[in-house]
Amino acid sequence: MTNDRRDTLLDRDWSEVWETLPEAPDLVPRGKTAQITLRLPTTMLARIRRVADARSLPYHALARSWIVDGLRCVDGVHVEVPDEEVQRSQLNLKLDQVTLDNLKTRAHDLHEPYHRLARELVEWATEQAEQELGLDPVSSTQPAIKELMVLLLHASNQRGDSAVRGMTRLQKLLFVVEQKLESQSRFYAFNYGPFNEEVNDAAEALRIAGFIRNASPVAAGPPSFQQMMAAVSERAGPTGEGKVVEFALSEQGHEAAEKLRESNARYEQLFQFIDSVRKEWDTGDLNELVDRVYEAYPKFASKSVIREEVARRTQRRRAR
Amino acid sequence: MSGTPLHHILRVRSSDDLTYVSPGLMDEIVVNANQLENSIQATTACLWRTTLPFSVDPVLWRFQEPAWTRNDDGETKRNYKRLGLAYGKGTGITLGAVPLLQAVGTDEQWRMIARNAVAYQRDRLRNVSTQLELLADLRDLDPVRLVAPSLVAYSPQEDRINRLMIEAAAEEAQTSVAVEVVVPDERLTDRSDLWQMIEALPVDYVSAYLVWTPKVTEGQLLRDHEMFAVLLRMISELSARGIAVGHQYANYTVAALHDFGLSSVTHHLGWVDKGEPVEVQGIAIRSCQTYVPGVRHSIRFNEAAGLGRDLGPQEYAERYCECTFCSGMFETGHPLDLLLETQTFTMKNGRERHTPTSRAVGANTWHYLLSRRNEVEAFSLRPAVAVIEAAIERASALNRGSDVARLGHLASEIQSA
Repeated sequence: MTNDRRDTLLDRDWSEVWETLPEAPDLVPRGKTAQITLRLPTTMLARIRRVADARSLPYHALARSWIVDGLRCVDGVHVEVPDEEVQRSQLNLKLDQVTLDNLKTRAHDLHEPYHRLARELVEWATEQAEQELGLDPVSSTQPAIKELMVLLLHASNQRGDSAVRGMTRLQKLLFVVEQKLESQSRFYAFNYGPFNEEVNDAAEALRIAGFIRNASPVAAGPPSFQQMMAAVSERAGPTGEGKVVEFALSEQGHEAAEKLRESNARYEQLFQFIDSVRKEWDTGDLNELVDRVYEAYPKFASKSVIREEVARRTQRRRAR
Repeated sequence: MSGTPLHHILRVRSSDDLTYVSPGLMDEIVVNANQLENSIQATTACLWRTTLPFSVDPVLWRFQEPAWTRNDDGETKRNYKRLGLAYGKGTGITLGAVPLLQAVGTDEQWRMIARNAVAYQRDRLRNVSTQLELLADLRDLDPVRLVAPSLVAYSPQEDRINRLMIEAAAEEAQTSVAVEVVVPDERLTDRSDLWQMIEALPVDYVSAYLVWTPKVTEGQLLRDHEMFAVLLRMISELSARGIAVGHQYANYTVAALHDFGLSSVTHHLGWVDKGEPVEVQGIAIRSCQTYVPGVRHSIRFNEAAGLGRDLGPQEYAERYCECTFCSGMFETGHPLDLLLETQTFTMKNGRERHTPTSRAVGANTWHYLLSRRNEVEAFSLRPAVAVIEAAIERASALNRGSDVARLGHLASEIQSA
């Protein structure tokens, strides 16, 4: 090229042509796909797998498709990821570069990390799929409250006592077990801290089944007068010192707990875990247990009508 | 008199009721779907233990008015929320938010609700087993009948919807379904189109008609000849189709209609006759009333004491009550000591009120259930008039002239029908 020709080209206004030029190639070629790693609670991963099973699809492919679909309608997606759940499991997903770029752009627009957005999309889609398939998000991935209760009453505290005195203590101990299991919480903040009506229901179910000591089960045949009177007395509530209902397994209940432990290594492991939690938490009087629960899990004490009283008590205890 | 025995069904409305569910005291139980949602573990434990046949009442009519599913704070109760979700699945409708007739816009949505309600009865108890039950090898919990959901039939509009839902329910069930015929009191008194509705009730794929007349007390039935006649005619016309007819909230007077084709009576464990309104009953202080089999209705404690407190075991059994609970009580004292036991309750305004003790409530529940059982067995074995005549004798022995007249009126209604 001559100097004159070069000067002519440099003097020319190229601004309009610039818009029509093809994109310059990457200096370093990018792979066609990229892997992202999502950290999830174990229960969530189990739920994804369950939905995939129900649809006969590989769960990685299903989760990937949920991200792609979710990016098309990301404005409509709203998921509250529970803060208290520990993300123990990971899900490695291969995404094509275009999807990953889209994910990053959307995440940038929403002012959140793109991993978090991907996780939200997957969780949202899981919930939708569960609803469509009629799957219960909680029950299938966690031990039932009734199972936890049987194992809790089969375990013992540091004094070697397996009975639990009072519904409040039973509620709080099962709550702590569930929290320690890092599973999705079935308890919610209520008037006296964490509560779940399923605990009352499960306790009643165990009584009816004959698993609770000194409680009359539902009669399997026509009831005798003595059985009817026993039910009448029970209705009047506990008598004697403290007037607190005692929950302790009957012989039949302990046998059922033993069977449960032997049925599966997972239940044996669960029993050992519950036993250790009980020894750590079921140590003193009820107030002490309540104070510890409120302190360790303040979110679940947020609606409590005795929150201030508990706080004062905790302060006094600390001062001592 | 019908050749088949009167079938005795207990309605389970709350977890407290489960204590009294026992084979031998009833033939079957029906569980309200809201109770199932309220306490599924305890209810299923009871079904497993007693092995009684059972069915689930879908109680769809509760969603007809939002107030019928709400708590004192005006919120839809949790159990109804869950039930509403199950029934509204796939319709995009939130049941309980507004009156059902406003919420549901199309016939297809009604059909879908009916299909969902049947699927709920069939499937709800299939997945409640935990490992504990699996290890115990318990029976599958399959209801003995599926019930088509229905609305309280205030007008031909509800009649049409009910027919739609019956068809859809039978389709979903792939078998015959029980049909609820819920006729409110106003339609019994102004029945211009009532017979058209009865006439139009389907016959195909119907296993039973379950009649219920909300807000109609036993006293009203006996006072109002026209009302009694309508109920009697409804039962006899429906049973003439060769299909079983049951009453959903039966009492002594209703059980007497066994002679006219009534094949089953369902009752709950409340012995104070409120005519069974459709709305949720709030928690109220219990009144001091007890069921007196000697006069076949509930009366106040002081009146009951006047009738039975001085009677010895034999006279008590002959005149007042012959149930096994009362006869058992005589071994340690007098049954009325416990049945009429009260405590003083101070209300918020400082006024004092007597209420039955918890023990008395428990005792009265057994006594009432056993008495009803005896009545059902009596109507099963003998013509209604003979049973009522024996009851008149007892009321007469107790010097209850008003009850002699009342029961006499029932006997003459049945004789003249």
